[in-house]
Amino acid sequence: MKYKDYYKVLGVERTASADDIKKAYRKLAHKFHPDISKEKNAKEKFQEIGEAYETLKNAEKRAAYDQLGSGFAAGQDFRPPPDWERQFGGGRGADAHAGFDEADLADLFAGLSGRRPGKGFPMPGQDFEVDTRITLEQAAQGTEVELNLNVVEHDAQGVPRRVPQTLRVRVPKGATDGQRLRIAGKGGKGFDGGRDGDLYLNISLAPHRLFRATGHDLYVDLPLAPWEAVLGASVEVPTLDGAVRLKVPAGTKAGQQLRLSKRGLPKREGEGDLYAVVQIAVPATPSARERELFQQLANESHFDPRGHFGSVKEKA
Amino acid sequence: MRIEISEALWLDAGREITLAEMAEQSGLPQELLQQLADLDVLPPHNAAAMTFAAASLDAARTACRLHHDFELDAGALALVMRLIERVRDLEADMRAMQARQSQHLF
Repeated sequence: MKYKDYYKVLGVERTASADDIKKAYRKLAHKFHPDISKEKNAKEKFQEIGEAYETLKNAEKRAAYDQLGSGFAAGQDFRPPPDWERQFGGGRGADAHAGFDEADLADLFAGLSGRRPGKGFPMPGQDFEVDTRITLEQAAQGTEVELNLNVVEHDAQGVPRRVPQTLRVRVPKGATDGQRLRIAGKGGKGFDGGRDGDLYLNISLAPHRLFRATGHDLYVDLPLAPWEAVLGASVEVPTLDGAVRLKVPAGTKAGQQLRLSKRGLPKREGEGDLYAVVQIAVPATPSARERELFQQLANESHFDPRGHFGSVKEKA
Repeated sequence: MRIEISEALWLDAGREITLAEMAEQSGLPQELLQQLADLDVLPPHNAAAMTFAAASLDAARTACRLHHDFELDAGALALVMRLIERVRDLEADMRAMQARQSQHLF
């Protein structure tokens, strides 16, 4: 089992009062709580902070933690002292002590203060939240994701241990960025008749080379040559199902959005749309002949793209 | 090591859950759920039967985390939930605006 220095995590001395511990936790929680924080690794950081506070805020758990000793470095392998389990483990057998190697430090304290697994109290399993990132193509077609979890289980005496579990989850087609899935009963195991926890999967979409997604709608940039925008054209536009031809009307302007109905991500009923956002592209190095033709157009055209500036007086 | 294949349900699937189910799945006490419903932060889908849209579960789980981690009462929780909702709406609007804008200007 790896040692964790809960006092260091909260940035307080081992002699800190309960009030100081609460203040330190509050300060860190305001900064790292994943529901309100934009800090990098806020989720992981808050998990450490929450775990430390859960133990140190409770007098019995704090005493049990202090009894483990203070001579360990964070991350160092250690075992609770031989008499620790007799004092804090609720009288479990001596064999239970050996099983702690497969537990996490937090698991030792989770069952303290009254409600211990194995003491006739039904304990619900922990809910898990897992982030997973899928591609736009996987979102469109549906996919399976593989999750590697470390699930807490308790033996008949209530001794916790971590069991590696690989879970494959079918993600139905039509996932959008930020959507959540619930997989009932796939969180931590309940104990003494408590229900198993649930697994929540937070979906995010990986950035795509061409498409940008908002909800079930997709956006793709559509570069047009100046003459295609002026005269109209039939052009190929990529979609998630392959390229389709799109009729660009004459007089199309930059920034206009041309809608390709039902070419977005699938919904439970129907599909989103794909929008082609028009850009006017110009040749970076026009040939001599192209320059000549553009110059001829410039000489003959009466088009004034800034006509709407009209009456605005030039500022000195 | 066990490998299982599990079916997943969208949280925003168009189904309803009871107050008891909402309390069990979100971790919020029923009394607090009722208070948040009264404050219109977690409005029930059917007020008479006190059932919620499954989509509300996500918000209820957020409320539960905030209630537990900051020891907020119903009034403070309602205020924070409204502000979080506003931030999320603004972030969604910003992402949508970015998606609509051309990315490669020539």
